[in-house]
Amino acid sequence: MNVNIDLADRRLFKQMLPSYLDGEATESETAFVSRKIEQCKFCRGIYENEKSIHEHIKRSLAQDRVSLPPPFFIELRQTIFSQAPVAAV
Amino acid sequence: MPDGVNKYTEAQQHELFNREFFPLADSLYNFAFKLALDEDDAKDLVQDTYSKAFRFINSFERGTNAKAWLFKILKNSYINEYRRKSKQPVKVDYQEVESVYNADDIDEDFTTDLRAETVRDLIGDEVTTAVNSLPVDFRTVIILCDLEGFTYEEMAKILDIPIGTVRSRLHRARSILKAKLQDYARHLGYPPGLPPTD
Repeated sequence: MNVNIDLADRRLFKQMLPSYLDGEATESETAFVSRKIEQCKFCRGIYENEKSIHEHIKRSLAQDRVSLPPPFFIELRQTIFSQAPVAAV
Repeated sequence: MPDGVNKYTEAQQHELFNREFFPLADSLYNFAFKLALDEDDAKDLVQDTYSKAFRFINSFERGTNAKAWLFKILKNSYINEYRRKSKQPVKVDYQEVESVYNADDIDEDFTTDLRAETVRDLIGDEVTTAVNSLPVDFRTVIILCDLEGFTYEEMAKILDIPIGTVRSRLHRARSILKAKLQDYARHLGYPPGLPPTD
């Protein structure tokens, strides 16, 4: 394959990869990225690394979730329901 | 609907809150905490959000995305009230960030492979620190997408920005995050023999 086309394809691949990993790529982008992952070793390496980092960040963020203290929630609920609603805005 | 007429009866309002809004309290608190980085401010933000939701419940359409609606209220409260008060550096100089952390450069220059189990274990706690150190606009898109699972379209509505901006902001946020984590891994000596960048 022509080297310039190859480099352009790789650049395009890297641009589309985040949307692909987020499940937000269009049909044609998905087809392009999937094809590159299957056919190009360099692209496959990038994909695996990005996917791994992405999943690691998601997992870490999920583990680090903070929860509202229960007493505060009970008080909040009572406060909200004691308010008088206003008309539509 | 004419002014002064409530769309929902009191029983319906309570049902909406109990069934749709209150189950999101933990997610809202977590989002608030990630924005404000302060427990008390986060609690105040959640309380403000629910108060506003109650006052303006007539503008909520049953069957639409309650989570996105509440997150948008919380985000606006943070911008309008807390961010101003907290004196945080609020404005991201995107040009500067872009020049420092050019995404393509990062991909090419950093060779640390974060797939390695050892590195992943070592940087486990560092992810939170790295996310918290991001400028708030970048931190926000990471939380909304990677933790809360909002789509780009939902994020665009919550943040009042075009989808293209969501996409590019997310890409830059992740590039900065990745650079921070990779640099941290280098400080720890991964890969062996490669010095830290600073």
